[in-house]
Amino acid sequence: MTAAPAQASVVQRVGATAVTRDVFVVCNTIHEVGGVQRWAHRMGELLAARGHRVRLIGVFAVRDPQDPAAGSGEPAPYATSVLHPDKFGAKPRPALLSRIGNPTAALRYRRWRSEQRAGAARLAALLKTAADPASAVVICAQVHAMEWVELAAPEQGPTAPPVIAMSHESYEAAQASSRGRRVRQHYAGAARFLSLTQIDADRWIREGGMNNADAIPNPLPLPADGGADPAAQVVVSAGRLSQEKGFDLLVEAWALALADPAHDRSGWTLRIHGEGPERAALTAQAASLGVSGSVELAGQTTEIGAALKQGSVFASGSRAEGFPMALLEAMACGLPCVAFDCAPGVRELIHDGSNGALVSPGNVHALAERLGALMDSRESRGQQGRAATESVAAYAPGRIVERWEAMFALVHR
Amino acid sequence: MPADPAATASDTGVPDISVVVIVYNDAARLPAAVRSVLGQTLRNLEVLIVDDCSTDATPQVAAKLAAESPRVRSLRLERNSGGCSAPRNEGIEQARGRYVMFLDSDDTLDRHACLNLLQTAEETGADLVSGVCVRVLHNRSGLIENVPWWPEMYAERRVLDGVAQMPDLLRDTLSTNKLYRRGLLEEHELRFPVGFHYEDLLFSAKAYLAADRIALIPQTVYRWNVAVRAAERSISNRRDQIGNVRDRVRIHELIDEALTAWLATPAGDREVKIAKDAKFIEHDLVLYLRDLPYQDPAYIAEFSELMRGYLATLSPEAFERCPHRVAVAGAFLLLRDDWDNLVTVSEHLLDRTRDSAKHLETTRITSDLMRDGKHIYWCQAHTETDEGRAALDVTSLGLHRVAFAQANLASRLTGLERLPGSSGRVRLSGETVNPLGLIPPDAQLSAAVEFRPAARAVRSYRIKAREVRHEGSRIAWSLDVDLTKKIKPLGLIDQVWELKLRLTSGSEGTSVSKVTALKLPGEGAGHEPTFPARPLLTRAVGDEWIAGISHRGAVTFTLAARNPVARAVNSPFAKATSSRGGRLFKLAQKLNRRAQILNDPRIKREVYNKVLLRLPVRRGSVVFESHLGRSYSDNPKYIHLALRAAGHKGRVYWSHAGGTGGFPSDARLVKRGSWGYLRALARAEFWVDNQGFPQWIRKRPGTTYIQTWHGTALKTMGVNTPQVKAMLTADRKKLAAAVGRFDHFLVRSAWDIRTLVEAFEMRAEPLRVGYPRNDPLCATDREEKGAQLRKDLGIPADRKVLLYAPTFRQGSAGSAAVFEPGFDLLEFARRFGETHVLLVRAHYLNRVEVPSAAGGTVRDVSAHPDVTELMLASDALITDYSSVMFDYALLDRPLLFFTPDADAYAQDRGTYFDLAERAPGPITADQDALFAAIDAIGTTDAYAQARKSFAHDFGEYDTGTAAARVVEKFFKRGGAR
Repeated sequence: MTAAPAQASVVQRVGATAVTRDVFVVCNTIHEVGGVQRWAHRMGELLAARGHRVRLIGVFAVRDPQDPAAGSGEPAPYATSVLHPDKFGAKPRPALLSRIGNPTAALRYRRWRSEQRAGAARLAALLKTAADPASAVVICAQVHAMEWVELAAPEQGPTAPPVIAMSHESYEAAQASSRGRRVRQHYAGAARFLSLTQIDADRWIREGGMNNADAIPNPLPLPADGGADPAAQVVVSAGRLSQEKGFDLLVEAWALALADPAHDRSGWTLRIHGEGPERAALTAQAASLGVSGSVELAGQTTEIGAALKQGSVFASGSRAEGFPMALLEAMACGLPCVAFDCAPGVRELIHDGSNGALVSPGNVHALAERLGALMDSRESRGQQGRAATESVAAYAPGRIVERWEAMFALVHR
Repeated sequence: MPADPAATASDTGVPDISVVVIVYNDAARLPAAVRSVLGQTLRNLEVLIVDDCSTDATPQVAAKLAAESPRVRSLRLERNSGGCSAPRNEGIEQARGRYVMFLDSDDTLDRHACLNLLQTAEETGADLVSGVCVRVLHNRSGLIENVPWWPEMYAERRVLDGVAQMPDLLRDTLSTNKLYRRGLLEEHELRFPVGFHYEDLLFSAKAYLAADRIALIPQTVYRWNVAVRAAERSISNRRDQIGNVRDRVRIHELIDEALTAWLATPAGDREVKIAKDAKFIEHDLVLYLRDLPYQDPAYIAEFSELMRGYLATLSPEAFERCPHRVAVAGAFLLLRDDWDNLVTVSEHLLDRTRDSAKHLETTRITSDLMRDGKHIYWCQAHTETDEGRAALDVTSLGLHRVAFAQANLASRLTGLERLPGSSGRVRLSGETVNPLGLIPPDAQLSAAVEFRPAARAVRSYRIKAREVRHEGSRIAWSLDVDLTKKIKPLGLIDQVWELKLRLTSGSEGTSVSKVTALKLPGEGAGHEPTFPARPLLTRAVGDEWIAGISHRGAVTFTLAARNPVARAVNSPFAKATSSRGGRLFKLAQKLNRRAQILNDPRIKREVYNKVLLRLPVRRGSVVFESHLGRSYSDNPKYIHLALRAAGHKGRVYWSHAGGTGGFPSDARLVKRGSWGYLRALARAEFWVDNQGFPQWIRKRPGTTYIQTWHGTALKTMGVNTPQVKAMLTADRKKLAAAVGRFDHFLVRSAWDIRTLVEAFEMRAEPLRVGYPRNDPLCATDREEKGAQLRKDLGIPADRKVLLYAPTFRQGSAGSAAVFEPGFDLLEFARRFGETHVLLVRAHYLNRVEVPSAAGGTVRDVSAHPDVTELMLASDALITDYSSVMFDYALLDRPLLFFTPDADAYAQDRGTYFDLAERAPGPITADQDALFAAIDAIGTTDAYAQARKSFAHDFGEYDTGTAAARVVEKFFKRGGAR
């Protein structure tokens, strides 16, 4: 971020009048454990702590509701609502030829549209509950939810609060799905459109034609105070055990690193925290590669900070990332990180050779080599681990909230 | 009640931005401009409408807009000023905002422009923030195109401490895509000069010089609506009037005054003056040079005097550094008053469309050129002085390296005479330049002239030349044509016809260029001759050809209407050129815009899957594609040749990526991705391809897909590559589905089955026949064929021919990367120039730059589509990791391996075996070793046995009958599917 100091000055200017606002955060769903939901609840806490009146709004219900903020024991400092408490997802609009050829599908879709409008009306009513409508803001965290925000805006009338739209994935990932097109369609008019990294925002501007693009990264969930012991012979990794997170590539690289005849790395363990559908496949893969003894599938942990601090290197085999929270957490704990250069978020965090290693996507040989190099040198683990902690200071919650408040002020000018 | 709800949101008294909207007699478009400001995401702003004393409904419209919103104020000048300056200055005087912007009534601001600019200004403390201006081109056909202005300057966010940090900034001379701190305008008394056109140039230059900090942002700020070929050119677009030249020169003199004053300050930097001077040569001067020869003598005289006076004041460095070398040559010739050579500069600069500009710059040759050692000069004249040589050196354009078939050689009409007999008969003669003896005196020349509509070519006619003569520096040609009986336009939509000369020289191919003229010769001198015309839509749409010259310098025949019926029929179309009227035309525009929607990929996909796939399979039809349509080459080509020889009756389609050069004329050519392509694929009985048809295209069960592939694998493939490993499940599934379409897969040996077939997890049946492209390598007449090919390539019989074919190297994303050979081509030429010829063939995604001094010895044959022919013509191969090694081994001629980056390459790509262990030839890693190995060719042959086993291991099925066996198996009656 080139302009952090100047932004701070804007904050001071606004801070002088100490505006507290009504902030509405709209997501597809809120009662499940996913990246966007975790972000939303974290933002709710942080903004509420600054005196803002926050309401998280989910468009749909979830079948198995969970509270991403659970564990603290205290009631959440923000309100929550669900627009369609009995719906679990939307019917996509049938394609043109199906609409012509299949009248029932067309009819079903029209019925769905009227339900959607009813949901939008509920959203409009919620937005009208703002204590100070003149300073309220809406954050739309997912492009699908923007359909409701758009429908609600006319019902709001001329004083509709400005909308800050968000995409929690990389430009590339959005383009690979229909979301690239839908972002252009629904987000182009929003007051601001935020990505999680400046690299993605610039691509949205140059290649995606989104002139309102800007970026604010996710806040650090842990204090950035290091704490990992470089002497530990443990490589840690964390994430959902899914194909996307690429633990199969990590295990492949691990086997290559251990098999390197030039170095004895027999004392080392690869510990993977998380659960998911790939568990059985990973267990089998480790066995077939002969590394069952050194690969430990440790399951889910509630104390991720403590778990990370037991390692001395963090490795990721991820194939795709929006903003890699696991890396951010590991760096806060003082671990040098090795990962594939699969998304701008990774590139923004890892500076190759100074606080970790970045290798070209899918190149397991390179991943093994760079991982091995860190395993072989306690000195560079310590050095790069310290650098990692320092480099994530910009993501401290206080700094991120300041940027959000500056953003609120900006869209109200 | 005000209809502007956003107004209530701004609570502070001072607006952040004042947007000055100037208007003159534009009541229709003013509301759109003002609304684009009121609809900004930034709400705390004001609009100042400044009316330059309009005589239409503008004052009422402005008053209404002001009444609707407290954020709008309407001002009106007492007298019309006739320009943009006075109203903008009035706006500056009245502005209350902390920042100021300018908007013209026919343009609009991007919805987020103000907020983006303000945010940047406040974050960076810049006095001036500039963003992208997009020119919105409204074509006559109804299409709208967005073309950014100087996009490369705005590619990155930049913060500059003064213009000296980026002197090229002066190229963006617009005043409207910028945000100015109002204090900056006040402190430096920045105002627009009243009484000139091109006021933006001076204002923007002064603002750049005054600003202590300048910020550039990549976002679009301003949409400039440009009507293409509007009947009336707008005021700043009338270049053909001498007053404009005077204004432009005067404005530049004022800029120079401002620069001189600035240079005396501590911030002053001469680089800025040089950059501005260079920009004048390559931009401002070029604007006038283009059509200069078509102006009247009085204009030319005054223009020359004005320009000569001004060019003399430019800094000498500007002439040295200006990258536009033809413009520099033009400036020099203008200064020397060398009219004859200056005209050739104009011819080179003229007739550029945005799409063709880059290409024509390096292929359009209008002058004889002169070669002296390594240097190429525009013309022979003036090269005796150092100054002339410096100014006329155009080596960097590379015109001397252009192959004949790619060259666009100036072809001028020199004669137009009526012939006895029918009143439409005419003899056209002309001459074509022959720069640097590009066409040798003994070349087999033939020519034809193609008559085709200037736009929307529905039909065209080719007339063979009756005579083509080589006259040294000129090629003279002439043809007889009956314009009435032979050239039949449709009528109404194709009224202007142009002529293209197609000059063919032996096996070198055909060079195509437009026939141009400065003025009509012979019969046409002094007046525009007419001939009877017979349109296909009968004489009710037109009855006469009028010869003429277009504003692009091309010779044209225009269909005109003389009889009353035709005039009545044409009138609704004729009106369409004016801004109003032409209902039919408007309708056509609308339909055309609608038609564009049909090209949406999603529509194509749906229609393909739901409609086209339900059409019946066309028995015997085949769609061929090679390297994604890039060329007519490789295995598909040789299967096609065998199919043709077998007398195949079904339809044969060839897919091409856009250029149809080199593709066979007996096949139906379809552009990759077009509707015709989709229809051909949907209905084809056979698909034959060496890489892959688009992944989303489904193959129906009735179609047989013969995947020939394009080479034996050394590098890891498919699931063994990082690219595939990095894929998400969805993409892996798509890849598997795409590979699942293959029905038969050509293999050269069991090795292919162990590598390719397994790596792609193919279900296809391996077809053990070898590669059709390798048939000629196994044929008994390969030596004779090779000798013939050498002759065609013009290689002396006594030279040893080395083929250098390296594999693909990654460059910067997207661009065709330049491949660096790793040894010095010049040194090679020095050392082996007497005995060898090196044919360099870059991978089709790379290109190679051969220094001109190595010219005779080192040849770039990358454009040659067929590598098999190059193999036949060569005595030995040099390669690194290219699969060409496996094919070449069949020839049993020496192979040399040159792998200076072996470790990095293996690490990056991964290989199936260690090349160093199995290579059937010496492996070298530096220039000395390579040259030594070249010297050793023919002396000892330690690798004869290795070559044999290499050829067998990787090509045991290659016996020279592959193509015939494929045809036999699939295309003979009762063949397998």
